[in-house]
Amino acid sequence: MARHPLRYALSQLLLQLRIISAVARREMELRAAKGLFGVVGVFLEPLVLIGTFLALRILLRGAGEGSYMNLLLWLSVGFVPFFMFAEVAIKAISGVEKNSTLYFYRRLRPLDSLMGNALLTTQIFGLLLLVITMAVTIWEWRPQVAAFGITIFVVIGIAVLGFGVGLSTLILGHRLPVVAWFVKMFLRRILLWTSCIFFPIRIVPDQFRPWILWNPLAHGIEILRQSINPAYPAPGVSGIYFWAWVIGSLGFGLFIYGNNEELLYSTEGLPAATITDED
Amino acid sequence: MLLAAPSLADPAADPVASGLAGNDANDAAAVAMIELKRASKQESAGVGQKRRVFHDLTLTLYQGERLGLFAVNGEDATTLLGCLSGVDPLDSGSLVQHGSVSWPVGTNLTFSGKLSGAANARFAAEIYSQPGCLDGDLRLIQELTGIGDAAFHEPISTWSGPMKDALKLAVSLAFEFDVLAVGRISGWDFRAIHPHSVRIRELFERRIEGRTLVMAASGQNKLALEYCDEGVALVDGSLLYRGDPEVCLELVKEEAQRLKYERRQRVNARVKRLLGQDAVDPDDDDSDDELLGEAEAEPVTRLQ
Repeated sequence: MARHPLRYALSQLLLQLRIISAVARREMELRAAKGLFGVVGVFLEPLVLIGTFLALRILLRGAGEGSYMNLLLWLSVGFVPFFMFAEVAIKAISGVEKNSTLYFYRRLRPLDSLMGNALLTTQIFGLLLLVITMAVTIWEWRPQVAAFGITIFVVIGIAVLGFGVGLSTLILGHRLPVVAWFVKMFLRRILLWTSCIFFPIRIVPDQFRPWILWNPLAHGIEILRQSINPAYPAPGVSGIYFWAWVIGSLGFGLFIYGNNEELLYSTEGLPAATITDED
Repeated sequence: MLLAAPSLADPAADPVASGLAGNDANDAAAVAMIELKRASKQESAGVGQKRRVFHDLTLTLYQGERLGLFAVNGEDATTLLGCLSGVDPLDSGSLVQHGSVSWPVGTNLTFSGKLSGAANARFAAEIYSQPGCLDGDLRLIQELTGIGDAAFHEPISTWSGPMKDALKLAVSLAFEFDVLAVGRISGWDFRAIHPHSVRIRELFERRIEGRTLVMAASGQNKLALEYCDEGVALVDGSLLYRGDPEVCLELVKEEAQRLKYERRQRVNARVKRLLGQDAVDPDDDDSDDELLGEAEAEPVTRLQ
């Protein structure tokens, strides 16, 4: 059965893509089976936060930042990628246990199911971002995004960063359960306040900027805003730092995944029951 | 076969050639398809209790073999099959599979009750069918189940048991594997002459033709004797015998009889000790002595 190696690699790659999209489709169908809330529920948290800040802006005229672009767009470019990041990471951390029945099909590896879930989450939030951008475009009746390519790449980069962080945490969490607990808390709380979501980096005084700029997500989000309007000032923000984090976290995650894949198949976790041998 | 062949560890051994060579396990060119080495497995038996299914077991399945797994306890055979197919994790030891091994045919844990039969089948087909064959496989699955279009698109939690069994069997038989692992099949009588059963039988025979078969014989001894050339008898956690499947079946039956006899003796002795020598009529305890285990014996103590 001699076959051309390139053709073989291509067919395997296509199979991989088919498996990932099958997992994403199944996840989508499972959510749809939950009823309306299963599909719309994901949008609820970012939309509520966007609405809150929009209301604050309208009522107080103080919150947020509206001078370089539409306020709604500015807020959504902060919140939607952030929630996408958190959702992708949390899905990756808790995804293996939830999907343990999928590994009954041995061709499907844990990484496939994680990638399928990440793909679906990225699709959902990407769609939300696209809808908001379109709505704002129609509202203002002029093109909003100056550099579409950068926007798309950075959104994908943020999703990949979430996947890398989630994957690393998943494996480390199997060795040290406290890591998973800590990262989950960290994702939801600390990152929300240090990711430039509801404040621009330029209003932070110089001496406090390092407190924000350690966070790659802040870089990503400010680059996104800069791609929408090139005049948007983002002092201290570095694309190289952001992409180094993306590649580093994904590479580290895949590296330790490759060495610890077998760990993920045991669904029972740590042995708790006492073993009584009759002999 | 197409997809699995490159994953063979030994490139010199051509799976197609040796597959066509027949079912000769002693063939010098025989390729090991599944190698289980020094494997142990325990199962939970009640809260905080573990029971040994097999211990330090080494078993090799060669290309073209048709092996039946016979065990005293029906669950043991199914568990061993699950471990061989890679669905159940081993407690210790190693499992090496060459080529693609199916999940236990006739069972499926991935099915989700919330999804329709079509969606569940489609998920399996997207993972396992050959490129370009997806729609054909889906049609085949629906045809094998014999379920109408409307019901096929309902969530399977609303389906009846036999319908679910039919879908499990149909999804398992729709794809090609190098090694077919057959678990407990329900809803299909291989001797029936109903066209539907014959259709499944034909497909089943086509799937195992020139390939390797391993089957859990528990609860389906007739099926195992029909299709297996060789059997292993799993007694007390280790392999007692490997060879003629009929001999395996006899061995396992004898062992089951012996265990039953021992249990009966133990219970009788216990009851006699508790109630005095001649208090128990030997005919009287015949009916429920099988049920009378340790737990049942306890209340007798308290009565005294």
